[in-house]
Amino acid sequence: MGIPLIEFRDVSKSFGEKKVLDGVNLKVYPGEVTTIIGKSGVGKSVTLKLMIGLERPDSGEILYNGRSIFGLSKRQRREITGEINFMFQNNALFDSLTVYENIALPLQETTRLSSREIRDRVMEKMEALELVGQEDKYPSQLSGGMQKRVALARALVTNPRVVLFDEPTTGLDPVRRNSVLSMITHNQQNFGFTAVLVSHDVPHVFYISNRIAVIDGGRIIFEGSPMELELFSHPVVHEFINSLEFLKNQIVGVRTRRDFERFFREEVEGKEGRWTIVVFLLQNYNLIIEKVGHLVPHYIFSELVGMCKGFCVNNRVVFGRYSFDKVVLLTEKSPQEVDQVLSSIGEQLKEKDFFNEYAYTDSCVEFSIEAGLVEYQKLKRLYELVDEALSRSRVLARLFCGKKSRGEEDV
Amino acid sequence: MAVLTIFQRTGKRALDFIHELGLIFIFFLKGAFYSFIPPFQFRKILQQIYFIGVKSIFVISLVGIFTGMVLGLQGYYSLVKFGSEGVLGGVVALSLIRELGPVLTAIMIIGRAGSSMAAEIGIMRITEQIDALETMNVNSIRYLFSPRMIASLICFPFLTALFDVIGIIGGYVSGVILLGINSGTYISRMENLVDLSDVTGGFYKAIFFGLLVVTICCYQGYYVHKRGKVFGARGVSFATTSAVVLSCVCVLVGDYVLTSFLL
Repeated sequence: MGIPLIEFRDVSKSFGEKKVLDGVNLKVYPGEVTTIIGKSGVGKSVTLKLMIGLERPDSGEILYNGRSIFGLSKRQRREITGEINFMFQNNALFDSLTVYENIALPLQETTRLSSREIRDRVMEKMEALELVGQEDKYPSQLSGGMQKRVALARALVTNPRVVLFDEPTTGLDPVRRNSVLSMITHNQQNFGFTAVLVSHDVPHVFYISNRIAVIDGGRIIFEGSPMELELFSHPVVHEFINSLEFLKNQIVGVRTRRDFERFFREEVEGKEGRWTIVVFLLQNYNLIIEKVGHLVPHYIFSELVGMCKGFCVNNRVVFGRYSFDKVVLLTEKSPQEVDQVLSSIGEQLKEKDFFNEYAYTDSCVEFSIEAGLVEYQKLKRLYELVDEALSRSRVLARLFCGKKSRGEEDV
Repeated sequence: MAVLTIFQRTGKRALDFIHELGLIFIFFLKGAFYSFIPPFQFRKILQQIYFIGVKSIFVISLVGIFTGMVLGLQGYYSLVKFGSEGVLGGVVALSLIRELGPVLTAIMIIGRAGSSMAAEIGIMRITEQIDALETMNVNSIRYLFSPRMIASLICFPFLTALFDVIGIIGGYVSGVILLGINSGTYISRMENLVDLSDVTGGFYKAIFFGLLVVTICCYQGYYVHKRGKVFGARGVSFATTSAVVLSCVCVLVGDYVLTSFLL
């Protein structure tokens, strides 16, 4: 990797009484795409502004090519900042200038290029970003996505050594988002600049990044490759990587497996109390995803959890997403009561749209929802109880394509 | 103690005021310094001359003519009591050239161009356009303030001269055409009473007011983000109001100070 191009050493920054960065250590290597992720308000944009000198740190050092930026003369600092460009989150386009004038401004003000050379460079960038034909328009006449592309063109027009991107894909539709990320990657590969991104577009940014840094609590809690990130164990990192699953679980009303296991260890394991564990299994989950889509399993589990909650109103009930195709329920109801509830649930499920073959126009997939239950036994671990419950599972409802769906007593 | 608190607050306000004066002066010095560093920004200066100067011609002319006419009217009815209505031409010309020309021109330009400068630069500040300039290694003071400063230095004296001429014509209209004073008397008295020193004094005032107005208005917009508890659009609105009020007050105070030196 060599010497970092930009390095933060114990950098701290406060705004008033709020400490945004607290001893941040970060390395950005030349020729790489480094993405900084973190929750909103943790100091990601501040980190970028410190890199380009828009803010000064309260303490610590910022090094560029091994030399401290703030120990240099003004002229030397200007030479360094001249190699770094910034793309603002809100674009910061000059609204009194046309698109052409916006993109040309850095060349007009900081270079001695002729008008023709400037025109060629500007048009090259406009073509690359599909902005041809918009030269005479003003930023307020453009859509948000186009404004973003103009800002990107302006950031790249001077062919800088480092480009800082402050949430470059915020507000863009998925197609444009992919286009912008792909443009950043291709330009970075073609021109070899170092890119530092701040983004919430997880996991898409992982595919274009060489290094990821995660900020939380004013510090860098992780710095490494995307693959190392996936293996890193930290609740914040975990939440980012699996953000979509987190959202689904929150909407459905189930805990993550990690939280569910923690609840089991702290509230159930080794304690007095009567618990019944129910495991719901969605058979052919992968086939549903492949043939129908991602939303159907989400709706099925959402309905299932809603029904269970309805039946268990007066009892404590906890749901956990054990795996993609399994939801585990912990309830204080007795196994006999739960068994009756499951039968009622099976009847209700059969009435739902997703068990009606006519709801699937040409992508019907046969699947079933099974449930197995077991009473909690001390000295048994959760996974053993889940396996035991699964071994006793029965079909609550099944969809047959080409035939009427019907429930069956046993598998 | 409440008494100490009053002293503390008064002292703090005084110190803050002096601190701000210092910042404005430093801002002015930076703008002046960058104005004389090549490459010169001819195009931007021309744009600002058009905005500050050319587009103010109509309003300056309008105010000038009516000011001259009122001066002629009021002057006649005051002077006729002493049988001295013959000196009306000189009185109108001196009043305009020494005082009313520079001051009213400055105030009209404050209202038209000064508030606009403060608002435009303030909005650029809150929308991060100034930060964007800095990230492109473009000195924002040089880009935004210096052309306006040069343009003001050029436009203020010209507009003041225009105001004076049109005002004198206005005085001629009311004094000679409407009230019957002899036109030869009007003009000869003007020639007798007005010295070159009066004209140069008015010229110095115009330059001084030009620098004052452009510095205060651009400063207010440029540092809108440091106003403290007021942000966003409201901050820009406060900055614009402060720019206009402060500029007007400083023009009037500065007029007194300069007049005491020139007389």
